[in-house]
Amino acid sequence: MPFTDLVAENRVHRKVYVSPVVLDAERERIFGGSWLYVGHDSQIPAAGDYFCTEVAGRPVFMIRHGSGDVHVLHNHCPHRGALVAGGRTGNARMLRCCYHGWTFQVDGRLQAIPCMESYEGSEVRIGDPRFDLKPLRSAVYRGFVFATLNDDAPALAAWLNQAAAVLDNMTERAPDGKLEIAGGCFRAVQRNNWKVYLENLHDGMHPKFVHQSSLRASDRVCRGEEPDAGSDAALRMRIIAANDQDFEQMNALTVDCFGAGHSTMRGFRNPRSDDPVAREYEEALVARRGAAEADRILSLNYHNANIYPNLSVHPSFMQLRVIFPVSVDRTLVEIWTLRLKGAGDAFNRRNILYANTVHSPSSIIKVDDLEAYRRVQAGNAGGTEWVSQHARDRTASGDATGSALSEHYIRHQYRAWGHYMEGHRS
Amino acid sequence: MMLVRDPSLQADLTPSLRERLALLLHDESEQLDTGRFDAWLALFTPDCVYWMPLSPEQPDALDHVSLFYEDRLAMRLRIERLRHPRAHSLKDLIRTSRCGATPVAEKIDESTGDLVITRRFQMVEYHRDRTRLFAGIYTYQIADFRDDPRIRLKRVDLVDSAAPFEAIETFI
Repeated sequence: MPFTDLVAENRVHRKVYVSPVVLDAERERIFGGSWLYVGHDSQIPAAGDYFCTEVAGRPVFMIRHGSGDVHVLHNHCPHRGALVAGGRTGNARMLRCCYHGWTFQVDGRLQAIPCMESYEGSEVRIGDPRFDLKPLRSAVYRGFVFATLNDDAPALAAWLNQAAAVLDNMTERAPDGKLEIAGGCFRAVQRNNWKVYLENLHDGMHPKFVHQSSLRASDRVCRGEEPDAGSDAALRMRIIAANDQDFEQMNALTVDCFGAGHSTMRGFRNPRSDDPVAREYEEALVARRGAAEADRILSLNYHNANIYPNLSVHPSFMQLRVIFPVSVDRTLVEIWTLRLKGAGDAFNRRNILYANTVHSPSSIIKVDDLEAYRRVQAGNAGGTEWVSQHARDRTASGDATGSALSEHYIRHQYRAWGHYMEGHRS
Repeated sequence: MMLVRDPSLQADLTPSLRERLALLLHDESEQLDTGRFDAWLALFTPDCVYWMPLSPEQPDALDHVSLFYEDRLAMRLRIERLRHPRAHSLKDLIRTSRCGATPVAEKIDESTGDLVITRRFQMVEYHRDRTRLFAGIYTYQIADFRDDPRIRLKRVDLVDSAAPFEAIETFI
């Protein structure tokens, strides 16, 4: 069956979640055809700093050149294939393979081979790009580093489409106009297909059902003792309580779709709070940007944005979630927190508290999401052949905008899925 | 049953006090393993913290994310959730069994006057046909350790704290 036969306008065949053949093709065509988020350039501030990760299942690293440019290179020695950059992060003036000592400049060009005379008369020579560390096509938008295996992919800014405005807004929230990755990275293993995760991220129908246990626990614990406004406890409770919004409130959220599978959700909770820490932060932003501009920046209430297929950003609490398919039923999600430069420690610490509360493997909110994902994955091993994404199907009207009670953003993801899986490279 | 690292503590930590403190740590583990969470929480001070760092190097839980960083209120939240009939993931009970090495009274914490005790541990968790092993070191800060010892801090450093994890629902 051609892959596109697995997807209809408002339903998909369960095989999209469970077939290894589908996953292999997704790696090749979706992850191999789109731009993918690699990292943030604040992770590699100094010349020679590098950060190792994967792009479409292939080991790569981003490294800061002496010129200040960021290069994304395959972490694959052209000699016998070893990883050249070791560890998760490091700093190198040049890169030497640990196996036979081939050395490369930080832009990937081959610099030296020990016992070069062994290659006399062969095609191996310094200056031949076949023996360099192969670069990926890469681009940096506002410090967010992306790379693609597809030379025909559109320019990054065009591909990002309106998601660029979300990355703009995240950056502008920093009084100094700069962000930095800080405070560590959660690595969460989910027992679900990668798509199941993306399909949940603007879903306003699930919280009341999935998150009952944490909602009712917070009711019981808080009965008669409201935490002090502005305290960590109050923030924690506010984060949990956001899942208790009724369907009318969820319906009032705005979910927009654009580009190749991307989407944003606005209005989930008011991230601005009126307490001394928040006021100090807003004053710092006003001092740098002026009152009108600060107000514009802060009232763009993006709760999250999916940048299909490997990134979900969370502007109000400065979180990044990077998605790595491991197998049909395992997904690794790396969660990073960005620090707003120019904001006070107390304000930035709220984003750490948010990460702990929502994204830690121990989060009492997330564990119930993980269970729902696991059940979706396990259920899709059998039963009926097709699963539904009919909620508020307005395909005829273009599906561009909707609420968090609509499944239009999932249908939008599958239009991108079909486009890539048909083999389109741009 | 309890070793004493700092010789200046020898006089304070009489055999009967050592026994009492060792029993406190024993009960702390045992009540988690038997699911008696209210009795467990009663072993902690009102201003207690349950902390499991993500990185062994992180100096605190404020500027760096943690696997757990819970005050008493958050601990109560977790306990209430563990009991909730619609905690979907807990349809199958989680069972745990802990084993601790001999505790060591290390020192007096200067800022609080609390006694610091460390103890290596292993915990086996069984949930839905799957068994996981957690191992590392507990660090306890015991408030008012001479008269009415209670736990102000339980810190858990896992040997594999930086590893990718599936959900961790129980205290460790």
